[in-house]
Amino acid sequence: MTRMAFVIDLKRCIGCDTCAVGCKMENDVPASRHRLKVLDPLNEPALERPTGAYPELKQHWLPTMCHHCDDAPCVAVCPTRALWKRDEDGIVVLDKDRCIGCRRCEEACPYDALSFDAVTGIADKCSFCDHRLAEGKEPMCQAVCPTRAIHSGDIDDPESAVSRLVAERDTYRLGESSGAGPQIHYLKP
Amino acid sequence: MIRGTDPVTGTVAVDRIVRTVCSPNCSGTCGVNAFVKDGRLLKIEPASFPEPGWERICLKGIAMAMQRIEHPDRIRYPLRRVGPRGGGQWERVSWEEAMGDIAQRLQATADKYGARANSWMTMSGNYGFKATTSPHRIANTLGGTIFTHDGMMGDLNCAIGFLPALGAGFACNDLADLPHARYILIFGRNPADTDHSEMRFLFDAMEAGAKVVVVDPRFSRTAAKADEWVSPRPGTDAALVLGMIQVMDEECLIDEPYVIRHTNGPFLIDPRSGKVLRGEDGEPQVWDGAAVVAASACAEPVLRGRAQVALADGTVLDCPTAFEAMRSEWRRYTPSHVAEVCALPAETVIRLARDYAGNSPAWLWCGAGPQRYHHGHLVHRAYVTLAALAGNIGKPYAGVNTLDGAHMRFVFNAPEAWTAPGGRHGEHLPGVHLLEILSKQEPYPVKSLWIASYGMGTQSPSFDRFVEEALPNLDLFVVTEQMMTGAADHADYVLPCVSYYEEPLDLVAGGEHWFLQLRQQAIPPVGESRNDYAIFADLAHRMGQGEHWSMDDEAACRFILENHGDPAFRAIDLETLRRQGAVRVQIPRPHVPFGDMVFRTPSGKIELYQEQFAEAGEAVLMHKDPLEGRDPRYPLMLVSPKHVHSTHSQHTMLPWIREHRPEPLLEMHPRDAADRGIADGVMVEVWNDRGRFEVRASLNEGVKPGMLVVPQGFWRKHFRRGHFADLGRIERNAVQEAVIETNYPVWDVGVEVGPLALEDAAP
Repeated sequence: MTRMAFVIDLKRCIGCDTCAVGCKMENDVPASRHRLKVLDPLNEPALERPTGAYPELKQHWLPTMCHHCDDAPCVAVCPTRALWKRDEDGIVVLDKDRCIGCRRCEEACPYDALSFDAVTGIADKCSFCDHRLAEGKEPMCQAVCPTRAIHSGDIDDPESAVSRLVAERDTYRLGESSGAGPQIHYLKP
Repeated sequence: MIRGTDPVTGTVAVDRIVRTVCSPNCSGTCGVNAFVKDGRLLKIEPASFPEPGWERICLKGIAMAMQRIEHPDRIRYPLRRVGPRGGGQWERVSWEEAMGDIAQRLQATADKYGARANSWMTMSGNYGFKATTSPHRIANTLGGTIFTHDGMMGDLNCAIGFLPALGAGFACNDLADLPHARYILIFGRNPADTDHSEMRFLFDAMEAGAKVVVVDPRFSRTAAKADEWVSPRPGTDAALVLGMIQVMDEECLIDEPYVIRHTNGPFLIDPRSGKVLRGEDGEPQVWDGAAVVAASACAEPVLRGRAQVALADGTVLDCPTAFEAMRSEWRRYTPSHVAEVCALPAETVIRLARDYAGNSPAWLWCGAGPQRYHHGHLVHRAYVTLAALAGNIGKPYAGVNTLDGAHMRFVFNAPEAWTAPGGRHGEHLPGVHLLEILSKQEPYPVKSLWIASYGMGTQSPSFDRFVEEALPNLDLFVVTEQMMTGAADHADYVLPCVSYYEEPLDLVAGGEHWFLQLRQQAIPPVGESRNDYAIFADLAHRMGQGEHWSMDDEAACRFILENHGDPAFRAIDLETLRRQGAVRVQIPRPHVPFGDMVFRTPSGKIELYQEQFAEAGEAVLMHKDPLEGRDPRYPLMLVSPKHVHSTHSQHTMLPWIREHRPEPLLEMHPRDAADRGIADGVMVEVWNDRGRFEVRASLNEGVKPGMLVVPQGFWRKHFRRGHFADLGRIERNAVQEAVIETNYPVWDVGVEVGPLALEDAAP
């Protein structure tokens, strides 16, 4: 079985927001909304805010989008089954035609990964660029990353690049203790 | 929904994909695949290169492609001023009307004051060859004045520091070779913010085991990624380097055989003049341990010490070697002295010296930041000296690296027949003194100015004074632009210029890589906009010089390639470029600048000792503090670096950029803020006796105490009042003028900051 995952190298991420803007271009994300955000450790936009005291400082940035969880809380609460975990590749899919804008998924998602149309309330989120995957291309955030920080692939295949990276490097996942099984694996900075 | 989805069929279809080039002055010159549907850009993606690894684009290029082309402020038609300058009143005119009137007025100016009273100035807004050379070309064609942009760019001290020592103004290894370096010492360079695309090579190097050290007063994004961050006081990098040299000397870490063989260190110095002691035939003299002999006749000259030289009249001169003369200055830079000058721990200076001299290959990577001070040329001279003393110049994967790549060679070796058609030449005046020249109308009257590819309203110093003191002396001010910029606001005519994607055909050489790429038209021009070449061709025809501007775009590109001054470019043909989009410029690999150890200096060696500056007191390398920052009224240094979301002023008005960086923030250390009663996030005022501006404060531990940081690129209208470029000054520098021209010392600016009074701080 294929289980698509993102592996994001926080050592390589410079917080330039190219992934966020590339995603907006590819997926026509409206102004002031995002499918992907780049945050600093204080969960704020990726500006210059090192932690520590001069001269012992640190800063890293963290791109975050839908974590395509194994046991996705948004899927569990969606009353219309507009959200589901796709069997063949593990992508959490959103069918906007079935979304009624109840925003229960917003409360359930630990990652603030969904945004909503201000008028209709219809949800939007990272699709893993499944339309690009279907053409054999990588997701747009990965394609445009100037530092090669974003990887994607089948985490169930031990030979895949993402699996090898996870095996070789120290990794963590956000909110791992929730049990949701998020599929963005961060390589530690 | 995926961009470009057909609402009926649900499918995405593009008409064509055009490989072209994004080319602002980030120097990345990224290859771009433009997806075009119904004459509009649907999206862009990174284009492939003949060699993998160079595929990249960034948020700036994406926002530029998607949001600048059809921006509401895009200029679509020629505009003529109605009412007073800067009044914001325009009328749409036809090209015929605009160009007819402009040509007539330029002719009238030429008739009255001479052809050189018409002037042109351009900057780095477009690396396209035709675009970037056309303003100079028209000035030459019409015998006008060219205001040079070298010093005005504010990074000329890199070249001024290099040229006398190395005989070349710039040099850099191939970035793709970065992973071969074991130790990478980065001085005042911040690719994570300024050249995102370079960072992947740095990360590759780190993964391959290289240690990376970043020297920068501010904790830049690159510093955040490095193994070590060293934070000297702004403008003191030369002192830090001299401290390293002193330690290397003390600990016998200097590569003496190299210095003897490849530098002018052994030359004897005449103590009376500070010049190199020469024989009757003009040959530099050295001491071979027993006698004074010509340098060319001595394989093993003495490096350290002095020679007693008897002259014909019986006087005996006590002549130090150049190395010894330099050393007597360098010895002052003990770690404890440097610690004081740079506000750094003395141990840091010692460790840096040992690490740099003890690791090989050691790649010294120099940025433009540390040279943005009045004496900034000494900084790059210091880097060259350090690298030479460690034996690193001309060595693979080491060297002293600034900027190199196809672009510099392509532009600097442009065919004379292209830049000066028909052998016609204009006159050059230093653009860095534009304000002074136009205000005083000296050395001769200049009555019209035409700028292109230049965000002058934001990027030039003291634009407020240009408007008040220089502009009234101009009978005509023409701005070729895409947007209503600060300069366009004050123009008499604004002529609409195409974007990268609308340009018909141009050659774009890599700013940081070794590929020549073809810009191909992706979409039709927006409105009535035209490209720079076409605009000036029209002018030339109206002014009786049409024969020199009759080539179409394709013929021009062929002409440039076929007549290029560098054989590596003559070897590239347009057909291959069309087929591949990008062609590798054939240079030996690995690319090792000065690998043949031939230096185009008078001695043919690296000239660490520079006798030509003896009168100016700079025959030996030294550190000189910035001019400003010591006046107790203005004790803080104001530094204005590029930031991760913009290259200069081209991107800051784009919505996707502003979503991520809504406003300029003044970064300052919490201690400096506390001393002045400034809280995080409040509006503050920054001032000196030349100007003031208002901005929101952002407290940041990553800023060295004693400095303020404001991101450059934001326009005047983005500040509630004033602009930081009003606070600077340009003093002539004799050494810089002797080499090329004075460099705009953008960061040699002392200021004070304070909270805004409550009534002023209201939104």
